[in-house]
Amino acid sequence: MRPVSLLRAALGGLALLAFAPSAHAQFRALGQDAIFSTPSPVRLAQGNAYVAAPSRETALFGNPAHLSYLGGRLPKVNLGLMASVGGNVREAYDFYNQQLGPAIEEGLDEIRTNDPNRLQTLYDDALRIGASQKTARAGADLTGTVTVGDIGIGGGVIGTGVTRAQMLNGGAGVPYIDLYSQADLLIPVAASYRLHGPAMGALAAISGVPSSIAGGIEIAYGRRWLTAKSGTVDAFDPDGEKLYLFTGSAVSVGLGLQAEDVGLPGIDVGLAVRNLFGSEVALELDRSWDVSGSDGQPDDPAEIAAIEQRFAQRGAAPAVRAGVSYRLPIPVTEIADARVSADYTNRSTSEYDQSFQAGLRLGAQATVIRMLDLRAGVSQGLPSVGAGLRLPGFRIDYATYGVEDGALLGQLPRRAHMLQLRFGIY
Amino acid sequence: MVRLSSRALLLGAALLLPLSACDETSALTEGTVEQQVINARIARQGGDYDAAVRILEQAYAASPSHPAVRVEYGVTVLERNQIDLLDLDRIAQYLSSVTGSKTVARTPVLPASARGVVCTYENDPDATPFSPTDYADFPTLQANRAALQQALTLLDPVIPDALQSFDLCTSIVDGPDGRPMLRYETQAALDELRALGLSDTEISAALATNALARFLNAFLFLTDDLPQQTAWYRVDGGTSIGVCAEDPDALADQAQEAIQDMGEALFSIDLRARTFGTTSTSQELVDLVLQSYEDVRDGVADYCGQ
Repeated sequence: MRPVSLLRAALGGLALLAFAPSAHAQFRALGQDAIFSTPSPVRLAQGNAYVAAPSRETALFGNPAHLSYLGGRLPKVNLGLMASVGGNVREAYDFYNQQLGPAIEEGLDEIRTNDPNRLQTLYDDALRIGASQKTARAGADLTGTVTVGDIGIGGGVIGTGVTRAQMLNGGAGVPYIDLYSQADLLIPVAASYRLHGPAMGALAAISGVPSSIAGGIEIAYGRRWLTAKSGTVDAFDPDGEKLYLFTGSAVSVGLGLQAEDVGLPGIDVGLAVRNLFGSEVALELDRSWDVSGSDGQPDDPAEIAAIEQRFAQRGAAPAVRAGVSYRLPIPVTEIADARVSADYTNRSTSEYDQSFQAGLRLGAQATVIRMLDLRAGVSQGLPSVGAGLRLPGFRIDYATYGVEDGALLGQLPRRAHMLQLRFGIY
Repeated sequence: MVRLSSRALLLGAALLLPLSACDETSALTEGTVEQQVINARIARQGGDYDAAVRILEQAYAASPSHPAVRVEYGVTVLERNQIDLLDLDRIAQYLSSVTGSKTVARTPVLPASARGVVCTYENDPDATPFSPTDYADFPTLQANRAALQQALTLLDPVIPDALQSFDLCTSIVDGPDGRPMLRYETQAALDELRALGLSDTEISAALATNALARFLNAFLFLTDDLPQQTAWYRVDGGTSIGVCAEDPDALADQAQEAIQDMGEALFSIDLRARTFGTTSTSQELVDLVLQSYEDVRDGVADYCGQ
């Protein structure tokens, strides 16, 4: 009788599958981060509907025509610090603290042998919690604006960074981790000019013609640093993993229009086009670091090529935003600058092309007793709310807002929180 | 006049609000096949398997030969039934574990009709009899058999012929260094997959899912479907498995389907590793399979020489 021992080979195969690597580029190119931008809690709290509602926070990397509407004779300069987190960060933190961390201490192999059901639960929870995108942002800026007559000028130096992390099922239950960080150093210069009053000429006498029209242009130089690390958990080589930093620069041009009292008093209309010429940051390898194993290991050309290819697919097409805002005539002195606004933008907030409805933004804002700003809105079907406190030489603004990471509204909604501190002459 | 218009504006904004807040997931099954595949993938990654399957059922009905639909559908079917690597890990642990599982009676292992032949493990003190179906999750695996079959049916037209043509006698050959190596048309297989318009991510997922389903299908066949009774032994402390059959000569023929499944799974894994960056761990495990083959090389040669 001949024994059949081929099963041993099959068992080896079973084990092999458990360590099968997955493809790079599970994530797409994260096109939502392609265009230079500086998120603001002021804008986000009011549903990100801002293009027709001028403020200090909307003039740079928003609608440059707003520079002519900021008012005041003295230059305004301030230093800002911003931080933001998004996604189920708290849930992930609790999961690590209460379940995964203790399990690692006990030994996953031990649990695998003695309590396979617990391992299954850990595995399922890790994939479920990890599937939601987690984001962290931070930024610092030194910006200034000045309005001289009908001319507005603005500029500054802005540093901003975003990190995204996600763990997905890469097929057959293979956990696939994707980490991505991007930092931008931005130097925008913007100017605007406003026509109003007698300058409108004969048009001013026509009913329904705006009381003022302004046009603005912004030119921004940006330097970008980017790094990404993707792969199945086993694909990370404990003896030779490297982190690659890519860098590149581009100049983007933005245009904006703003008109006041369009058709009816109090109704303002705004239009902005960002990255007018579709400038893309051409990334090149800058340097690499050893993150595991011994120092001085050679770079991996395949991984470098995969990262370059992934981010070369980014679309940096011009982003168009049009909106309308209504200045509410509230006859109470304690409430000022009350507005409701609606925007439409063609810019996707996810790595996928999004539907028309995903481009709709609605928001409202008001300032109470000159020191408290209240804001609320709906963006992509997700509510947002925030507040700002104005004190001499200091401002603090907070926003909680929703972001759709999917292609259609309701697919992958994510909540985020942003806090900003600003110091200076406001 | 102005006040009325302001109210009208506010009313307009109020009407816009529900439009902005509308959940669009009712539109998941609309759009092109490509959009439906993306919608299904997002739903799967979000854990909404019912929605993913609903979208894919519709896409599959409209475009049954679309490769991306087939791949996404196959991947989703397994994930929805929670068929994943841990199933393999538990099976591997059970099969190789000497302790912690119930041993079966040493004699008689085989029915009386088979007692005319000698099972080499029967009186081997280092061989421990066990039943592969005593594995705790075996009923669940059996219950998921339809899902495995559905995934394999979906993936079958996508998997290249080169990966489906595993032959025990010719697909593992001696390499230049005398060690066994896999022989199949690697580049042709990859070209065939890419010619279908599949992305690297889809190819990777298809190969992993195919390998997983093939191995589990083979395991179920060997434990559940063989038309004759077999006796299983853990040998050498669980590092090896031995099987005795009533009719060992017939067993080789009857197990052809399982051998074919395992071979296709091995090819799928190998191509996946070669294409998307083999790590040292994976390479070690590929080598393990081939080293295991060395143990049975003589037996295979006898079989192929028949």
